[in-house]
Amino acid sequence: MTTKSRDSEDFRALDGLTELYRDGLPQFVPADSNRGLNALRARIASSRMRRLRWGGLRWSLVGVGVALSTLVVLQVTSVLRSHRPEPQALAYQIEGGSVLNGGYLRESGHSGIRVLFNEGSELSLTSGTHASLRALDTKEAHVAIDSGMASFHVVQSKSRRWLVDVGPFLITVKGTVFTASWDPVSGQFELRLQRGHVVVNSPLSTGDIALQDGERLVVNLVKAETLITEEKMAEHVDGVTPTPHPATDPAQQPASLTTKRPGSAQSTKSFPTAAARTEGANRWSAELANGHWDHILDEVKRIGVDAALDKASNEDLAVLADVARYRHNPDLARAALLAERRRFPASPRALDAIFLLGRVEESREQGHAQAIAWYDEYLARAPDGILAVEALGRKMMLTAELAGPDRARRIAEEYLQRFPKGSYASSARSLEMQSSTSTP
Amino acid sequence: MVLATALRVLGSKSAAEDIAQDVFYRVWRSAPTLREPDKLRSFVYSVAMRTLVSELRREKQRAWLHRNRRELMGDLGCEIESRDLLRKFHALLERLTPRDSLVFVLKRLDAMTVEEIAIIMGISESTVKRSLSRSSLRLARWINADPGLAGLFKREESRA
Repeated sequence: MTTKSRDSEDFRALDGLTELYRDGLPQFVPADSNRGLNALRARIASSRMRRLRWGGLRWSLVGVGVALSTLVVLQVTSVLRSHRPEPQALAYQIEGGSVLNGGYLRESGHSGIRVLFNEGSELSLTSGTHASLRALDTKEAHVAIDSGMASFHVVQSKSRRWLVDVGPFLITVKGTVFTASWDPVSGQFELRLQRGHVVVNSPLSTGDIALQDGERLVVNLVKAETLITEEKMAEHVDGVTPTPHPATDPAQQPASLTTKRPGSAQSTKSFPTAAARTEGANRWSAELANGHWDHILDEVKRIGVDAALDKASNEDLAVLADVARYRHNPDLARAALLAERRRFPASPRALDAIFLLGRVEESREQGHAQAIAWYDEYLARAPDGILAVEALGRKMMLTAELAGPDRARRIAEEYLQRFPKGSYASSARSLEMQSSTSTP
Repeated sequence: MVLATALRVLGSKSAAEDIAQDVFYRVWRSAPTLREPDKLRSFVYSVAMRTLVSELRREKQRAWLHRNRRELMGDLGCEIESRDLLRKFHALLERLTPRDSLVFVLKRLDAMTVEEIAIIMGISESTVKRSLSRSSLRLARWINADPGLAGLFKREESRA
């Protein structure tokens, strides 16, 4: 046998066996395929379950991780807080006077009063100034200037804010040296800002007025004029003439406040709220922002009060009520506020109108009982409203005035319970003390 | 096709079913990554080939370690003599490298072309040809060197 024939013989056997092997193996029938398919489906399903379980477990682990991280952060925060000194309660020392009940400052001589606070802030009242310390605690210092002039040197604090009521104006202080004065007779408010930043809430503007270093704000409520200048000795601008006040005599001012900047460059800036709109709805807001009270009242006179109350927008009615109050016209103010309630009963201003009706009634000689009724209505309708603290405080004061401290005690207790740091808290405490000493 | 190829390579129906399940399970898991759906068939084959090669390698390791070795040809329903013949031939296939064994089965038993084999196995056509030539030579030599196998084949041939 040759090699070639031997090779072909070898491969013949291989070919034969290969063929036998292919034909001898069993064939898969559809039942086998179905069984395999079912097993595959079961495997896929269990895989999905495992994935879901792992997914759930993974999210659980993430949740546990987040919770642990939060705990760690809280723990670190609490440790840091425990090492951080608590803000000091505000203590003070008075030179040239004393403090009466309700925080009123009484001058003992004729050289003014100086209040030195333990945080480094300082308040100087010129002689004849009527002021009170309304609230002094760890978070807030609230001082009220009823008339006269006061200079402030407020040390900036992250934990405590300073609020200064100057007549109908509210100054929010942010670390600053400034002088504020208020003359209720001429209706003039003046603020000179030496350093820092303050925000003034004025009855003449619908928004806050922010003042920067070296700016001076003069508002005359009687003339309804507002002026902001950027130099120290600003004089007549826009017809505003700052009323000479005995307290504004530089000789009477503390040395720290008499520093004057050189130069007399003068500039004015308009109110941020002085809208350009002068026609159509809400035009009285623009008039008010520009200080043109009499324009509003003239227009009401021209078109008639009833027509004005029927046609004015919600905002304009609020403006008209404000202007009427500032112009000591309680009847018109009440009519505007009642119209606001009647025409826009669902608006937030209607709720404010209830409180303002109380304020209007307070300005009337025989209106205190009615004012209490309005405050009661406000408190009933909006027990947690933004004016609730004021409404309850005014109600307390009027009740004490009308019926004595014993009758006002319960209101004072409620006030202290609800607003322990409210602006009437010190008055409430005084009423409690008066009541307890008068009770046998 | 996957089942048939797996059976021919592994020589066990139950093992072929297990492998087919593995293959389709892997296909299901990898399906979202398949960018060209038209190539699903070749994708399934390539997965099957990789799975079979892995299984053959594991089988060789098990044989070397003499443990947990799958009982081959145990689930064949044919006559005892035929079963012996098939078992001996499968034993020769197992002596080849996994890749040579697969190439031989695909070409000689599944009647695939060299080009198809090259695609699904991810190798060049010349490698397929070399592998085929090598495995055929080896199998032929091993068949002729085994008198028992040759005798069985002759009896089977004369019976046919």
